[in-house]
Amino acid sequence: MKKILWVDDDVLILSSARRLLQMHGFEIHTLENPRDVLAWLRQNDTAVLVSDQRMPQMTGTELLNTVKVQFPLVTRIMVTGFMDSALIQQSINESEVFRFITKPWGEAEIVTDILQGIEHHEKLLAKENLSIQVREQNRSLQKFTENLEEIILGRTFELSEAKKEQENKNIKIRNLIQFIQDVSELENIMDLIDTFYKDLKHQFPILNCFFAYTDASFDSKILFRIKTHWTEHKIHKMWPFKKDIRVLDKQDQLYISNETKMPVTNVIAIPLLRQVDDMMPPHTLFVETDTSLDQAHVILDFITSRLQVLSLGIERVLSLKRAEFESKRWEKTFDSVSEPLCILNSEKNVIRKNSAFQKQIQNMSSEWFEGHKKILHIESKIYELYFYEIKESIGDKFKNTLCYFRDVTDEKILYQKLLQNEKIAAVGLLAGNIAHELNNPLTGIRSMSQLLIHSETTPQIFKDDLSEIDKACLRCQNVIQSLIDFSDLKENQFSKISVQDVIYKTLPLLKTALRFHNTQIELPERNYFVLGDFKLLQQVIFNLVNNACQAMQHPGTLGIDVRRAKKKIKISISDTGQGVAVEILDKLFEPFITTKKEGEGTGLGLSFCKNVIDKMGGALRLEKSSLTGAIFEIELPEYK
Amino acid sequence: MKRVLIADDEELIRKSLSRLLLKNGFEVMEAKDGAEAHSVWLDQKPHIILLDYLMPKMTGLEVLSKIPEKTRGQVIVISAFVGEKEQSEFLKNGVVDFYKKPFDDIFKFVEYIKTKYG
Repeated sequence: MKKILWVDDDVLILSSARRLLQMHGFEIHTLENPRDVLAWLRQNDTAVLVSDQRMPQMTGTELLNTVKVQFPLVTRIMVTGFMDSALIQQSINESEVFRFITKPWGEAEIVTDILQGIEHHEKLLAKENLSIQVREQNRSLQKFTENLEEIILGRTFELSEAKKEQENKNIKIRNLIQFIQDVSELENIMDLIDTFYKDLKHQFPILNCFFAYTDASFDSKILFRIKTHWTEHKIHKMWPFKKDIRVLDKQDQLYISNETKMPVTNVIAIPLLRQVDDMMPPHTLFVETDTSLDQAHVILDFITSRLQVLSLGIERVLSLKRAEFESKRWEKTFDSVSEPLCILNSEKNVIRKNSAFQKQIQNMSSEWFEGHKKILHIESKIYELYFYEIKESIGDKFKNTLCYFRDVTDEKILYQKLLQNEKIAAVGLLAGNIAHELNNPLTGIRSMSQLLIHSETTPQIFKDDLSEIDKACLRCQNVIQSLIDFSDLKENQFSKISVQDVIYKTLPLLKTALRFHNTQIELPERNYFVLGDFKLLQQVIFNLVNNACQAMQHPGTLGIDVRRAKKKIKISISDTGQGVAVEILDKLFEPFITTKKEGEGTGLGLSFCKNVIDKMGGALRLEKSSLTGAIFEIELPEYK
Repeated sequence: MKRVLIADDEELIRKSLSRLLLKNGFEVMEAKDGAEAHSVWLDQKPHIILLDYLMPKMTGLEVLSKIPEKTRGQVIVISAFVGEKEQSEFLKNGVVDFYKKPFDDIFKFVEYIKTKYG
């Protein structure tokens, strides 16, 4: 129950008010002295304060003013004996008095005023409570708001930190990706190491980077920077064969200093992955830095993140170079072979040629590669073809074929020469035997003929016949002697020889060749001398006359003419054949050039003749060649 | 009278030489091969032997090897086929006279023998 306090200096009024209000069920307290009011209010929850205006200690207005300030929720009612408007105005304005009650009061009026006063108090109280609540709520709202900001700030900070971290990570990843891209595009070791070095240098205080590695041609090298440039040289001593990473190892520092002749501070040594060749120490990267051990480990962490990429890049570059090196080496080997080589595919088309092939073989024909071992005449050379199947792998059906053109020209020349010599030697042996077998009876015949010629009993007519017999025998003996001389294979010796003599002694051997043809032989009577080998020159004349006779398919005229002009002796041998075939004109004197049928000539005759005449300091020429005949001319320096 | 042995497998040579030597006052004997030459020598001991080199059965050298040098008289080797090797063999056997076959003129040959050994 809310309390009602009534203040009045008049005890009677107080008791009458108490009686009245208690009767209406109010809890009423009375005070005579207004000075006690504040203390009382402090201790009692009071709804309505009723105060007299005129009190000796203070006026009602003064009291109510104070109460208004200190207990605003207490409904204030003024009791006064006399109403004046100034008082009312002051009370209402200053003390915010709820009601004025004039003395003497009516019972009902008082109760109503009190009830309304309580109601007013209740309202104020409710309002006050509400505003307290609102204030509370405002306060907690404010607090909440304040917390929220803090939380948001905290979160924002966390987020920005995370973002920064993420950005760093992104940058790192981007850098790594960039590094991978860069490395994958580079094609030499120096660029690779340079990229790595710049990447590293960008973030850490490193001084230099040394890369010890074995290159594509298996040379061991060290690559490093001198000032702003990279340099590379072959190592003097192998770097430490270690597979683990070393941080600031004195041995590495010493090695690099010795190798590069540069004072090197601390190094981090990082051996690279190596798939092949375990016999060699792994490629090793030495990063020079003057940082502390801790910082070195940070650098190492970074390097480790790049290591695999770098290793793979280096292996890739080296593998490529090595493949290139190997392929070049084979190419060079292929090209170094001085005889023609080519590679054929399964269709027998040439897919590769070595340089000898390109130089020596023109106008290639696919027929060459049909079948197996072959002998070809190409230009002035003779080749034996050998075929070797190239198997791609074991058990594979061969696809390509290596074709080797073995130059057998010299062999053939030698062989033919030997054959020629052998023939001549055989002729010599035969001639020797024949000489003995024939000379004996011929000597007998001649001796007997001579005896009979000188016999007095022989009739003159027989003597003439016997003389013919003697002469015929002499001719036979001469032919035999020529044959012996011609086939005599003694060491060639140059001496002063008569050209006419040579020709005279050669002609008897050519009788068979000349038998169908006319001969027109013009030799000056005075001997012309040259320096040379009698038998060799004889063989030259023999060959040239023999060729000339063979060139005349129908009976013709063989001419031999010897002249002397400007200290040169010229021997011309002419025929009335059809001239030299146009297609062999420019290589007439080369070996194995022949138009004769198989077995009729070796193709060596003219080359042999030229060789002999060259040795004698002269020249052999085809002077004329037409459809009406050919003239070969030997020109030799005259010898006196 | 000097006795001459003509050792040659060619009958015409033997005959013609024989006739001409007889005319020139030699006593002549003939042998058609090496074996005969040896036996004739054993029988007749001629002063002079005209010895062919290449003969059937025995070569001139083989014949000489069977005849002691001191007793065999003068030997003239007549051959077309005497090389340096054979020549040195003959020289070892004391033969110093060689006459090359074929001889162009039989008269000159006989004259040579007559002058040198006759």
